[in-house]
Amino acid sequence: MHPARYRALCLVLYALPAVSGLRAQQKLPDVGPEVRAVFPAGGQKGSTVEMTIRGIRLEDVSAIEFADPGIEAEICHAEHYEVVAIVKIGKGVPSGIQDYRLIGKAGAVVGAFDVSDLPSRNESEPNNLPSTAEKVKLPVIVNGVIENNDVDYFAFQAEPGEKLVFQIVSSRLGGNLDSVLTIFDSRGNEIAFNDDNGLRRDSKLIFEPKTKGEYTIQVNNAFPFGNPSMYYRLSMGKLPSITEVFPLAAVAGQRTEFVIGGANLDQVQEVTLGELNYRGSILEKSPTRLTVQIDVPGPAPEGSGNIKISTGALHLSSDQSISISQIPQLASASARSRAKPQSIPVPAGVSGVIEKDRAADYYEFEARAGERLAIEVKALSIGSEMDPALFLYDSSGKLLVYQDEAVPWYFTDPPNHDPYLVHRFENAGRYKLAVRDSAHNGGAGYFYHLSVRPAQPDFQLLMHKPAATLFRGRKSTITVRVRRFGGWDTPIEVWAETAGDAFKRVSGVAEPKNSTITDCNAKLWQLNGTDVDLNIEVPAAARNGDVPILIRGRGTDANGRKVAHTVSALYYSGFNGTGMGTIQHRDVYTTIADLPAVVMDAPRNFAVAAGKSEKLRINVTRFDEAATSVPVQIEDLPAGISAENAELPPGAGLIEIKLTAGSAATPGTYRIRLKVQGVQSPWIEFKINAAPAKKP
Amino acid sequence: MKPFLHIALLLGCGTLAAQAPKAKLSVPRISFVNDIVPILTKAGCANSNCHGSVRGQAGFKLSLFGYEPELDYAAIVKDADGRRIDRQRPETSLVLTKPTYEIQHGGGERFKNNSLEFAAIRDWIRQGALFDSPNSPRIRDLTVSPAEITLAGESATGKLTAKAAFSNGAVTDVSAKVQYTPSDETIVEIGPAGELKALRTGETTVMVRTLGKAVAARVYVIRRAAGAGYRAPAHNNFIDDHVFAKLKRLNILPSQLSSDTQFLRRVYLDVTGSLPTEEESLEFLSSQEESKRSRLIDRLLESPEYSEVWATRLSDVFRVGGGVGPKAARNMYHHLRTAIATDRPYSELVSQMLTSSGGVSRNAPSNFYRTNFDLKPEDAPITVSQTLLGIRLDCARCHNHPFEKWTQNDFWGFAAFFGRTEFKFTPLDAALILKDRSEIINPGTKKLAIPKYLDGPEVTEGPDEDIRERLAAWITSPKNPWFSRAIVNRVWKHYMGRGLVEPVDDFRVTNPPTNPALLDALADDFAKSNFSLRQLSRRILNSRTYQLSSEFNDSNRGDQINYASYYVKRLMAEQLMDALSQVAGEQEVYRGMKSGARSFEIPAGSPNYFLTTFGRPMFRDVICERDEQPAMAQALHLIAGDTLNKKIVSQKGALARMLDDPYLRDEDVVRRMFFSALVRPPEKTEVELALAPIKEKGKVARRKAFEDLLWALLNSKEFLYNH
Repeated sequence: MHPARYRALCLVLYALPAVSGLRAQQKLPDVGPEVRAVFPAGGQKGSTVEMTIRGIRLEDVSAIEFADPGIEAEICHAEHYEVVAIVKIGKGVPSGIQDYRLIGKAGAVVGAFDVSDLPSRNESEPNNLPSTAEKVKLPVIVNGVIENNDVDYFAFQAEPGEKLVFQIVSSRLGGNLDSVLTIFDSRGNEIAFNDDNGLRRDSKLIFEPKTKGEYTIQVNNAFPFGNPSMYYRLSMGKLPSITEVFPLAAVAGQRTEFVIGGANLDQVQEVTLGELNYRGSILEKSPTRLTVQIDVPGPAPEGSGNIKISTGALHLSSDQSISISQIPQLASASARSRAKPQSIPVPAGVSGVIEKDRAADYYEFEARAGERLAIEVKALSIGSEMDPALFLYDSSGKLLVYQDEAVPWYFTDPPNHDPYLVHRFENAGRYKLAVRDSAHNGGAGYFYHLSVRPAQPDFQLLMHKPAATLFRGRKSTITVRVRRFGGWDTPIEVWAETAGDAFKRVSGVAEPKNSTITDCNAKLWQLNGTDVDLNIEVPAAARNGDVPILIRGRGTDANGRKVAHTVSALYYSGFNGTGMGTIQHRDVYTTIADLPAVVMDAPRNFAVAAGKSEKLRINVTRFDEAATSVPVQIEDLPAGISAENAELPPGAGLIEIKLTAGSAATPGTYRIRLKVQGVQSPWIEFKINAAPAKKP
Repeated sequence: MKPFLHIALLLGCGTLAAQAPKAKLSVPRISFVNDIVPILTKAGCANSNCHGSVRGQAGFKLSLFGYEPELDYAAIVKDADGRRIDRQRPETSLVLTKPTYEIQHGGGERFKNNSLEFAAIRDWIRQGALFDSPNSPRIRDLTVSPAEITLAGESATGKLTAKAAFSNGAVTDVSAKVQYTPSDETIVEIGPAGELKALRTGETTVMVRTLGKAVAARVYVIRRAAGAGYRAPAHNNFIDDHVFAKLKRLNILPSQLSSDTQFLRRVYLDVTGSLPTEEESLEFLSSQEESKRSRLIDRLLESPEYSEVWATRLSDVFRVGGGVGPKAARNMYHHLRTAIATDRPYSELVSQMLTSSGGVSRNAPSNFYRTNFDLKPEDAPITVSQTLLGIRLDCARCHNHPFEKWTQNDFWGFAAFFGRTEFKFTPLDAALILKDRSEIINPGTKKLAIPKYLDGPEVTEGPDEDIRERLAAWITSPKNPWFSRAIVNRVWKHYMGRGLVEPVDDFRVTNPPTNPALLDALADDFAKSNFSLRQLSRRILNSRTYQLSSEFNDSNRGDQINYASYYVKRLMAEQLMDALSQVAGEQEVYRGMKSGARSFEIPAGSPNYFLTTFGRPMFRDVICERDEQPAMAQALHLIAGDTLNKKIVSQKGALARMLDDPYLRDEDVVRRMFFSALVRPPEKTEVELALAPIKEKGKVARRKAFEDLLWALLNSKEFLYNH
């Protein structure tokens, strides 16, 4: 079985309850909105866009709130399967991916929206042949969808001397497209191709034409199918693009000189770092390279941020993450021999690149007897293609520790392939480290950041879903993941509370032991942290609606130091739910709602021929704990249609209504819906077909 | 010389050569290793279906074909409480009474009690039933001469001579001690000492085996040798030199050269996978240029379609599809197609695959290892040896190979090259990584397996080294005896319909090529061209051998292995689908591909009922599962299935367009249909037959009648086969 299908199956069978943040005695339903497709998923600053969001349970969506106040959305209409909104993007909105929250009566869902400086247009079908390629004038962003059996072609003019950048944004916006970009010349010869851009599903091509003329770019899915959830935005043009940044850390209170590699960088006028926009001075500039000095103020806390560049008209952020650190930083000397490693102090951070296959970097440092050091290699987590492996040797060359990753990655968790270890050095002396890619690969994209520092116990609180629905009169569970660092080995108390009286404070304890999970093959996996279930009981009299919730944790480390943190929420995107798209840290949203008496899973359409009968089957789950049958009302049943067995028995999971179209029934398309215990199903497109012709 | 004395002297040679002169013996000292073990092989005791099987027979286990004399000695002398021999009364030993059938024996009578074999075993027991001394000579090599022999005329006779070279330098005639096994017993009869007697015309391989060594001789039986009147046809290149030399030896005349229409259709299908268009056909057929065939070959070899065909072929070989998933399969296909299009040296392509690592989606070559969902390093040697070297090692995983020289140690030594490989899953991909150390244990020795080249030395992996790099260099070396031969054999089979070695991935001493000189020449030329697949294709296609007609003549009617004519072959699944689509003017739609995509463009593993039914492999096993044999399901699908019928009746297809063209007469439509499908104009009688039902039924049914004609054309053997 293909690993993607294996993971999907296990996700359905086992993992959803574990990570959805909603777990109770009875499996409670998802009643909040669910988004499956968005189009378009972005727009130009200063423009207005009509955005269509498709999914289910969207009829109660009342608002779309963007994280940036410069973007406003107004709902035009909302029905079960679709919401249409007008989105106004202010001119001052920062470029890049902006989060929004789709708010319904019974919950919220978070999505991603791409704001760009470039003009946007929607694709114009049919464009699925080279001969019908849609002509575009660069630079531009095209919004498109790869439907079933669909391939999109766009034709553009190019000439030698240009460096054109083609970038897909899809999985980072929650799209399911695993894009493939191919460029053809005017004779149909393939001249450039990209599937995955490093470790990102969203393809990227930097194309330098050799001759002047018309070229065609094809957008396709790597898998042989398509559907509305495979939406994308393709930016095209002579655009600035960052491919690498070095070094990978800046020291607070010091000046750091960065070299930025990429394309069309001679257009850049401004460079900043991080969310606080530490400004840089451009020392040198060429189309492929920038040298920039950035001063990070002394009080800057440790953290990370991206390099941002601006041409005045265009603003762009690097995919690579830069650390802001309090410890000294070095550049790797690319010591490629174990016999002659690079000597580094402790503590220190080192920026390195494994630029070719089979290469490894070696380091040497001094440790004191009894010292505990935390040794970490960041690569995947900062946007590198590298999957690092770390080796620790003593002075005689004996291997003490080999680590590929701290805990083998379980696929429903955010990826954690970067090694992190805390080692207690029994003896004083010099020790060696080797860093390489676990598959012995290398290249310009194989950068890493190594840090060796005294282990400082700490922890982090994470929620793997940024929104939760809590039901009045019920107990709902929110799961918080506690990740420990620096050898933290004491319990941590985690609690949830609210300012109002929506619910009483609930708490739990994370013991210093990773949680485990058994997959659908009965294999035991260790998770990267401890899951704490907070069982929140919401009184029946609580007020429905959004409720600000505070989730925090505190503990005392082995040295008596008290530590406290607030939870961060991870936003998942990408079809495998592992956060390979947008991952940001934002507030947690909760909605208090009523648990419906019944949840119905109705078909979208249904048909019966005149003079015939068909059974309308609807899966149903009851939460009213009733022991009696309840009637099922059918709203807007057309004339000439009779219904039998329109009731829901106790304990039944299925409604089966026999609908008969009498001879008086008029062929056509109608809409009906069911109502049970006050709960309405979504509209069902009900078609009455003409009576079949009788055979002679 | 009397046979007994002769044999006795022969029996003594192996021992006399090693030992210093001693006191005179009445019978020479008999060597267990060099005298007794060969008897067990020759008599069939140590065969794989008897005591040489994995579990032995009736509690008595010998090593297969005498690979391990120490084990055989223990089995005979020590096991079963030593009751298999009786030192007091040697004649009554079980090891003699059973094979002479003096007592019940499941294997029947293997030799008589007055035979030399009986005497040798009896004397050995009398001499103390000793094992050879550590310094006694061991067999190093076995040869048979002549390697090829032709017997002309019925009942013609000949002789094979087997010689064994020993570790002490002695070379001994062991013709009477070896086992002879012909692959076809109806062609030649073989006596106990290698005497040959022809039974009927044909050719066969005779396997000669003893003491764990095996060689083969090729025996040809012909009616009469080619005389002075034998007229050899013109030669285009060295391929013809070797093919026609063999045909002359067999006194077989090659067929005539194919006609231009035959050649045109054949070369288009073989190189591009498609039929020529009408314009392409007319251009070629009307040209009077003498070198037009070679110019056409050059042009087709530069076409993108050529790259797609060979990307598909190599995808078969490397089993891309199946377990790797559609995304990785697509990337691997793309990688292969680009390599073919740029004529990247095959050695580089293979080397890159062997030393690959990383995510299968990003590093397409590492899909080579991902043939199974969970890669085990011990599966890798089977994949590598069979796909790249044409050697089947799988038997040797558990025991020494029955028909080849490979031992279990060879297998696990080869597996050790892959000991550090392992797959892990990342969010984007399955990735082949290299662990810090190998953990492969040789189940025979119970120790860590040491990397060892096949037929070569062990090697030690250095710190921080990827030993696969050295393996890749060894495999792709021009000196590697199998690498070039394996791939040229596959390419040869694609064009010629039959490999010089069949099956194409079963190179072994006992399965020699039908034309060893040709195979060597092709391999040598391939290596010298820097492993260019395009150049190899060019050589083959330009040979007269490839361009022969598929029609027999009287002398070559029965030939199926010597390329005296072009061997007719059924179109590959992809060729057939694209040909049907092209003729019907209705392209097949493949999910996820652009409209009009050819079957050769879709990556391996993409599901399609038609292609699977017509033999596209599912990639479950190492052996290429592409099945080009006809089957009932295929016939039924063509006759009554949707695929063809929808194309024929399509209102947008070629037939509809022709029928709607007011300037085309019915005769013109018939001519175009024939030309499109068969690349030839119809004969007059064919036109008459085709038009008869159309004229009778009138305009309304005209369409239907033409549909029937098209259906008949596309179901004809002339269409379905490449000839």
